[in-house]
Amino acid sequence: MGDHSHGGPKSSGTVATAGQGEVEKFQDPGLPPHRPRLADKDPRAEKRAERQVAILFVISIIGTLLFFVGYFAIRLDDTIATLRLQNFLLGMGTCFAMLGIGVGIVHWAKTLMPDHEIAEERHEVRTEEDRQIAETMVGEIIEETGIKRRPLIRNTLLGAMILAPLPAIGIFRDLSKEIDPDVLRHTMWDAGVRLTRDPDGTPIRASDVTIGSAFHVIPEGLNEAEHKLEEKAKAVVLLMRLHPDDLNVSPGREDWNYNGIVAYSKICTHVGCPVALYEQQTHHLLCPCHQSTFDLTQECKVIFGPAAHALPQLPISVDDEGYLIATSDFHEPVGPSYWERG
Amino acid sequence: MSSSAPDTYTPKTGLGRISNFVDTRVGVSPIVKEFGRKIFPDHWSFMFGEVALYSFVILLMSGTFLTFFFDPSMAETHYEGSYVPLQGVEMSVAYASTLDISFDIRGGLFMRQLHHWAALLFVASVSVHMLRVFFTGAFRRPRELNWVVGCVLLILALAAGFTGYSLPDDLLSGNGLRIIDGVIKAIPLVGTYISMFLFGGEFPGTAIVGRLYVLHILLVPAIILLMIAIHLFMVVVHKHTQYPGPAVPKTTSSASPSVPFTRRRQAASSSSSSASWLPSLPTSRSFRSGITAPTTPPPCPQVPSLTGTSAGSMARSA
Repeated sequence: MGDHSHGGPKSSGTVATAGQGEVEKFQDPGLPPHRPRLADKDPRAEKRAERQVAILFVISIIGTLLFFVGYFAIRLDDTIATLRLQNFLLGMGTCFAMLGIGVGIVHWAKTLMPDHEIAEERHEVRTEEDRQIAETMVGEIIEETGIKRRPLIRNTLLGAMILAPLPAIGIFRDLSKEIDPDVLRHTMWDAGVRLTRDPDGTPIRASDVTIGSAFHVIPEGLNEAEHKLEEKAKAVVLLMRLHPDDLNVSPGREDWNYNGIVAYSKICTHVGCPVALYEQQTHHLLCPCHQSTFDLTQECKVIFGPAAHALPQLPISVDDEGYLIATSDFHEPVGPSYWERG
Repeated sequence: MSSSAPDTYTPKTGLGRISNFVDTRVGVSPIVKEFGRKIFPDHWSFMFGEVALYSFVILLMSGTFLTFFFDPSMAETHYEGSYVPLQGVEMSVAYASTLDISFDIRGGLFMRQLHHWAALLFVASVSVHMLRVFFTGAFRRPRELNWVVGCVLLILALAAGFTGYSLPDDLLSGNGLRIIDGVIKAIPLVGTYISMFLFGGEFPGTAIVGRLYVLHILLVPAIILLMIAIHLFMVVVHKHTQYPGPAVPKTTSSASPSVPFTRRRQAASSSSSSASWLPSLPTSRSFRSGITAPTTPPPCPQVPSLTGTSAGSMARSA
């Protein structure tokens, strides 16, 4: 990389010497000689560098003007193209305005300003003398307060200081009126509640659910519920139909599906993302957040990823008019684990 | 404070009179005397901390702009702005005001993007800065405490990033909040309660955006500013950690002169003097960063001669 003979104190090559029988010591080569730059030697180069710096500052000025052209000359209509053009001009304008100043000053410093090195002494963070003075002063202060001689004052002060901040913590109690973990166990689903489409809330006939199809489902009446978002965050369900032969139904859940139509909570049991991806051919449900994968044929057992529990199943049936209904709430809390879940 | 000699200086120019007015009341001269020729390292790896600092300045400025237009309310509304595909859609006021900043306030989208990218660069540069400090051993005595302050700053940077990510109340915000809710609920014993206190009840509630807003624009940046002040104060106390070069005693810190454009000179990734520390890079001597007080034994055994030789000649040819 270039001519390196300039860096050596005497000649390049041997910088270490060894006397007889003694350990070789690394010799401090000393500061390399200062090498004048082109602009230090050639007045024309100096002029050129000066012009270059000025040009960079002018580029900055042009950048600022470009910003104002973009800001005032472009009328925003309702099209994305206009917005995009304006945004581009604002960004490029600011970019040149800042870069012009920055690059200009760097170029100025590197070509025209003095480039000699200077060294600065390090100091000890503290000296022994300072330490002794400080120790004496602190000792005097403690002595003058008499805190060592008066333990009654010391102890009551300590007690007061420990207690005094407590209201500042206690006053935050009303951050939430509702702190009963039991609310997490219950959703809007109940016996007879119809399964309806998300988001319009129209009920779903069992005959609409063909094999291989999937529905995003909310409970009937959710859109009119008082705490709609909180209820929805717990109650959303995925509805799919498989061949009844593909389902491995465990004892006690025989009547939870209807002719191969199954409903599972859409809230991932890992940290609560919507398990929104249904792989129709493999019957896997995939959570996009952390790739937890649930096997629909094994009652949504976790087969991959960080989730700890199977997705809770919603027991379903049909009513007299052929619409799908829940036969009860979920039998376990939906969503991520929490301490009181057990 | 009375000085022994009467002050006889009379400034000649207008600027001089103004400077003298301030100087005689605040005492700028001693500050200039102390810091005016402060030396800065000129190796490029010392730039990352500065990138982080200036990213934070940009975050404060662009963020302040955004607060004038953002409305952190979770009340339901119907969008009526100029972005046609979303007109009439039910959404929160927070999201609607985010869309307004993007589509109806000139320069708003630019400021959002600036804020977003500065935030990414902030976290990235803090991380790379930490890598530099770690791999050069610059965290060692007497700088351990400043390393800890730096770690706190990284965590605060993540906290600022997360709270900001959650504000627009779009799909990404919702997923991020859902995940943090799941993370909090996983805390043993108190997790459920912390989650409910944070969200004002069950997820998502109607309070979280407003609460995170206060954290994002007030509490977290204020603590970051405080930590930056402590961080920089300690840097001034300890001085920088650029390796001692040839002919420079280990007790000095060497670098290029800093005035008048210290910052910009540093921004140049290499300068003529950067080669001066290169010879020492492969030797353990160079890793004795910081103050090597007489009481501190060298952390590494003396360099074998062979290393010194090859290191020296390697740098010669570098």
